[in-house]
Amino acid sequence: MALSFDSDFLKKLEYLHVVSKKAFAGQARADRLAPKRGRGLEFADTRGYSAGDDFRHIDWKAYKRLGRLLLRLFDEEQDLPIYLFIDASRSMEATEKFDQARRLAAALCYIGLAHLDRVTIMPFDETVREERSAGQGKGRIFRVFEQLEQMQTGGKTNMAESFKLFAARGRRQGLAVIISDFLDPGGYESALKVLQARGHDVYVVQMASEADRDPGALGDVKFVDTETEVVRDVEVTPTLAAAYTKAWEEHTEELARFCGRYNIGYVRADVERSVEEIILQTFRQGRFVA
Amino acid sequence: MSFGAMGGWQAWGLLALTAGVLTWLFYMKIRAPRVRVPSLLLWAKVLDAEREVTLWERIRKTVSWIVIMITGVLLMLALTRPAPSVVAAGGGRRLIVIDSSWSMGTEMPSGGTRWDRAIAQARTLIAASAGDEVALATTADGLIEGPTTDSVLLEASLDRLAPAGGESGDWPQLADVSVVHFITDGTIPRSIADLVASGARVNVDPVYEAASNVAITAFETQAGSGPDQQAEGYLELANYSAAAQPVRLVVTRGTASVADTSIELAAGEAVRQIVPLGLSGDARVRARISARDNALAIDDEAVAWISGAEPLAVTVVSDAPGFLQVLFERTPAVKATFVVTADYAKPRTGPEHVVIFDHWVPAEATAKPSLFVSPATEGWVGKLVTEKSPMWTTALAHPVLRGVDPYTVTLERARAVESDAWTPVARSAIGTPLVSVAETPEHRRVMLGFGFSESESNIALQPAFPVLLVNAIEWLARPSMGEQVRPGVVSLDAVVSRLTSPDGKLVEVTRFGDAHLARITAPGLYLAEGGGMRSALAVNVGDPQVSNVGRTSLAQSQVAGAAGDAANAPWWPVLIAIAFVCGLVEWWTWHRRITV
Repeated sequence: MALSFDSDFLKKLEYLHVVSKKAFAGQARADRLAPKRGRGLEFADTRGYSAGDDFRHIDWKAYKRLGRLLLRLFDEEQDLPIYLFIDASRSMEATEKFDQARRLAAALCYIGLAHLDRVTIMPFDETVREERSAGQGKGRIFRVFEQLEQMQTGGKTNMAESFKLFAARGRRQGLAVIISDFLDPGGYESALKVLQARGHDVYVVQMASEADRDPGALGDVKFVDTETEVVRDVEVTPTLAAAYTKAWEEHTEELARFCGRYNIGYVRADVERSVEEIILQTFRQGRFVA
Repeated sequence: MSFGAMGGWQAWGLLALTAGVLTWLFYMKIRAPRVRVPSLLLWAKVLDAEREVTLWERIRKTVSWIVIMITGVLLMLALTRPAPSVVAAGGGRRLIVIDSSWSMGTEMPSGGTRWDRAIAQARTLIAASAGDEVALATTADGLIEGPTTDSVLLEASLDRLAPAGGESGDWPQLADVSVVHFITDGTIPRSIADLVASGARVNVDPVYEAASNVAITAFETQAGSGPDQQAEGYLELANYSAAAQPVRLVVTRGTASVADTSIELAAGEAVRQIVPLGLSGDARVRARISARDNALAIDDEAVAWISGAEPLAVTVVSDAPGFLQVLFERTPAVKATFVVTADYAKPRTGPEHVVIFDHWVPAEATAKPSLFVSPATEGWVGKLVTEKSPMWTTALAHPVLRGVDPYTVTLERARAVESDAWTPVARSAIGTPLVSVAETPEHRRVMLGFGFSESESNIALQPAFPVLLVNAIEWLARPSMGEQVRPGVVSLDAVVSRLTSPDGKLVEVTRFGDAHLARITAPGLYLAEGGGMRSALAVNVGDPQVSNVGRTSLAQSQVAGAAGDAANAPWWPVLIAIAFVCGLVEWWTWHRRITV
């Protein structure tokens, strides 16, 4: 799959930025407020001078008025660590979910790079595969495209194991975006909780397709699990098909409910919709980008 | 049990094969396809949940299979057409004779015609006789097909058959026949004694159902006997119905309508009508009736030909026509043209039915009907013989001499020709031919061995003169076609070599000795040609024997049986219809996912 966006769309993306509910400490100067005071341009507060403070920040006007040495404090503007977890398990390869996930990841990368955020792409299946840092600056987007194009599906989904492994690496806190269909036999709850427990601001992007909701084939069918190759004989009656559709809807609602309960951002991205529509409408409505 | 389309073992084998193939196809159909899904996670949730399986869900596979099997079996039954064996098996040869008299075309109150029912009955018999030799015959055509075991051949022959008369035909002859099935309505009584005497078992299969009919049972025409007298048509109409009804009669002469009237006919009444046909007009006359209760159509129309309706065109080649000119000026039935011998070779316009050569013979023979009067020269006509004061003594019965009284004729001199081509029909005492005729399929000729001048004879002053001349011209130009002709084998005038049916098709004319025979299978006006002349043959069906379709010679018990023979209608179309419905139900339910 070749990744590319037209210039109009890219221009629109540049006006957006990824919203984080928390302020995280970054590594480099950027245009996002950090939780600490530093050498930014925005005045934040004053404090008493201590030995060793930079003379240049002493508020001389206040000294003349109050007779005390006060030091002017500024907000530190730093980059935001964004971790893009892309589900690269086999369940994603059907119905263009993986392609759409890569397009979304590319778009989010571009938004992050445009705002000098530190974006890291982390494909996962049973574990987190090789993580790739996109760097900073929107000029790096072509490298990101190349990385995403080379990404392949394979293996089973195991979010809990993957995210535990990520948590164990002791990465800086940041925005964790999980793009997945959340069809994990082991469940997604503990995995999301692990990320949240590590102080990351977690966003969930559920990839969905009409084909997932509708079983399609009716009558006697041998369903083969793409990930496990397990075969199950099912006689799909209209009743059973309706029950399946209902189960899928419940699965989606359950995920949305879980995210709501744990203050996790949630948006659903249908493969039938265009990336532009998802980014500019769905993500904005979900306050994922602004 | 026997099968109409094939042998028993073949049919049973095919049936079993069909059932097997259908079952295999059914299981192929319900064989589960492999469908790859992203995850079985949700399916496992759905399937593991307790769900009530309805009775229909349990049995729908079986029901689907049964419907498919029923569909297949019905189609196979329609194809193989099983029937209960009507005769014990044993390889006996069977003869199916269908009464093809015109009354079989009667529309029955229950629908269809007797002929339709007879054909259906024949099909049933053929189906029930699978494996045995069957021959097919009609009363009109005799043996049509077989004996053969090929039911397809017999069925194809049945498709070609139609009522064609044959009321008086002989029974078809076939050796070693064990059973004869005679399918008839009994309207024309036929004795089956000959069949019984042959040792075969005779089954009469009745197809009679009483019906009402109105018919033209007789129709003839006659030209006016004088210039001021109209031609007339004689009609007989009959109402073979239990109730009185009005009958509309339309008579046309050519394209002109000469009568259009309504006649009230009482039940069982027959009326005779004389219809004036006018002083002149077309020779073709057609009468047609229509009525409410009228089950047989073939006898609703009758045709006739007015002989002499059109004057004959006669060319007289003579340098001194004398009495001939006087005679033809007074004969409206003849339109004469006089030509001197020197102008004979010049082209002439208009019709020319007969040429009279008076004291002169052309250098070459003509194909037109010709009358030679006292030929002056010999040559291709024959050797010239003369006799002074011949005595007319012997005469054969011939149309040319009809009404001629030789005793009133005094001949002064005879001059005739003799050759093998001529047949003398009147001679002098010493054998000089006085009147000779020549007749071949190509031409007709008459030779008079005497002239009409006073120096030759006194005939011009005798009544025999116009009689002899008109007889000769009529014989030369208009061959006799007899009275009313009915379909069947018809004997034609010997000069007729070509017969054309009303729809323009040629009817085969067979020469059998001196007779010319043709087999006519449909009523209408037939054009007869030959020997340079043209005439018409009116063929009508109307006959009290045929048209009275409300009676039968069959026994009452047989008639009652036939009336309830609706079951004899072919049932395989019904099977196909049911199979179609079953297929439709299966298809619909499958698409609705009600069955599998």
